[in-house]
Amino acid sequence: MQLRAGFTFTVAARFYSDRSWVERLEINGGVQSNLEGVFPRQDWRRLTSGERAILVAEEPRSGSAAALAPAEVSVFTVPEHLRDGWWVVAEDVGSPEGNAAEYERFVVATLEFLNFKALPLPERCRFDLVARAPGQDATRIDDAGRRLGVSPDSRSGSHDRLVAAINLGDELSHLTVLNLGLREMRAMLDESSAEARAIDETSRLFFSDFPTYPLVRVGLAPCEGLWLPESAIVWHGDTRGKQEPDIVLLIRAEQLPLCASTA
Amino acid sequence: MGVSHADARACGPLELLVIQPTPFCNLDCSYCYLPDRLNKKRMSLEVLERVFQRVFESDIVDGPFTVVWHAGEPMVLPPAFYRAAFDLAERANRRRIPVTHSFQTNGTLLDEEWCDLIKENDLRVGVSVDGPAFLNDRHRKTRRGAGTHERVMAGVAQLQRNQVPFHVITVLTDEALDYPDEIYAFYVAHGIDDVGFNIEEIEGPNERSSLSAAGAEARYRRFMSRFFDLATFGNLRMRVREFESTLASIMHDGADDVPRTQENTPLVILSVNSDGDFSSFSPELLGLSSAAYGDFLLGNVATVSLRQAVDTAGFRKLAGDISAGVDRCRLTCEYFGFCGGGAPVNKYSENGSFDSTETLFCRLNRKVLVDVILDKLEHGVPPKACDGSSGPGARAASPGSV
Repeated sequence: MQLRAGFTFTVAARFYSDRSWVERLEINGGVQSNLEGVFPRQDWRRLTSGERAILVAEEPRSGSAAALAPAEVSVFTVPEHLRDGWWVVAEDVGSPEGNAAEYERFVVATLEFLNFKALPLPERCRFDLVARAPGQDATRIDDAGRRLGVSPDSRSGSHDRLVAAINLGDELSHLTVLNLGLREMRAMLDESSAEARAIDETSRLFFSDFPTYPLVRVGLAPCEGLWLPESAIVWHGDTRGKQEPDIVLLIRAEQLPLCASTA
Repeated sequence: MGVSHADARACGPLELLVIQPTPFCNLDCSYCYLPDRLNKKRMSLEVLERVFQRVFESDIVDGPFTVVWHAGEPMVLPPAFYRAAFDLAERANRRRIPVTHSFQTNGTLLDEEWCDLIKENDLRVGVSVDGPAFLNDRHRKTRRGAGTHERVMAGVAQLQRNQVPFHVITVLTDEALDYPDEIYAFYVAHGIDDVGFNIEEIEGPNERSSLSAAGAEARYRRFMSRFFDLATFGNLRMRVREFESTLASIMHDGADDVPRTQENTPLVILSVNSDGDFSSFSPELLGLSSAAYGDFLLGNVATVSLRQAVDTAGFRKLAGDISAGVDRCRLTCEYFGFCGGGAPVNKYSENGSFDSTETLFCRLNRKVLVDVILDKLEHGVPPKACDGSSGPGARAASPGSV
């Protein structure tokens, strides 16, 4: 099946990357299902020029006015001295209090950097440092402890949208995404707005009806991150082919519960 | 302090002698202010000898000064030239005035032989590089338009292998303002801890600056504030010329109620081109053309002494107009106490007149920096963290990167 227009990939405004999209992006032949869910097929290949034209947006922009477009998946890079800050935390095996203080310093420094770069941080966000062993075919786990396949970032009933993921490890990390948003999936499923389903169900139907729609795998070098669109994205993580643990900082938007008590 | 029409004899003392061994540069950086970079003529040793004789016989030398070899790429001439030059300087220096020789170089020609010369003569070395390759190579190019980063960094590595201390000058253009962390990371990765930032100035053939664009001043302020935090609290503490000099101007407690500047006082800076023609005030005036000021030249070392040069109507007009501009700044600018009246070449290049006030250069390189440092001090950063030097204008004026 052919790629369709949906989310586009770009280097975030006010950032620079010297890695080419040819190196960075791969696509496959879709998904395969098992009892646990749908998982990416492992027949990854380089993009054709036509596929690159569908997926990749124009050159990075600079200056204060440049902003991320709503339907963009943007690559950005944190400086090495920030990543070093994480490893100070990781290597501090002293008291939990000392470790927590270092972690907070690291998070604050990262926030200051992202703010300077005018990335659209949500009003409240949470930083989760996720470490996964190499060789796993899925890194996402649901609340019941089961492996999650290719699925939306917003868990049903939860509002913590995945904003960004940053590779703090020493090796390449991969994120696999569906380049279509909810609207594009519904269009392909020929759903009217009256039938609108939640994204969880829509993505299940989509993969059932279109199992050969290609997924896009994004390679992130150490210090590289991916800034995701505000609309929910369907994605997957794995540590196949890695020798070292996968260390990824996930930034999630947090929303206060509707009836939050301030007492 | 400036010089009035009446008192043309209030000159010096000499702090900076800028010598142009050749106008030629092997690079073709897009923002360069030097007007004659393809000209391969070189200063003869006869002219050089006369330069040192004029300088040391004059009454403007009464203490240590620095000789900056610049205004073209100095290393296109061989080390042997400079050995001869240093010998000439020493022979003319009968009073044994301490003299420091300094090179501002693009770094592309550094090799073992240069490192030997630098170490033998305790030379100060400044290398011009605009940060990581993706920034540097936008403007710092060969004549064929190729980037120069790899060659410059090979030169830097040469200095480091030979344990030669050096500082770096980085020119900030509009594109660079988004990347303080990346520039800092570059310095850290290469062990560079002594840096100076020039702004892309409107001077000579560079008639526009990307920093004139709308919003650039605010972005420059953010850049400097962020870089201050990185340089002060980051993994590698850095000496940043702009922060040092600005703090020094804030903490200045001199006997005079106004600071003095090198560029506004005649013969504190003396600039000599490869023909032996000389000028004063801003080094960048050397090589600019002007019908009103006789191309800003005060004379030639072959025929005119320094004292004779200032006793002319041409000099008095030049000095008087510069002084009038300083007075105008004193009367109108709340930052005068941190500045002393701006740089003449920027006033002339941007405003068309020395008798003028604000420029892009002073907005960014003085006002914004004063605001940034004051803000840091008000937020509790101790002055020692800013590592001030001994007083405003104490650092040699930067004639710009090569």
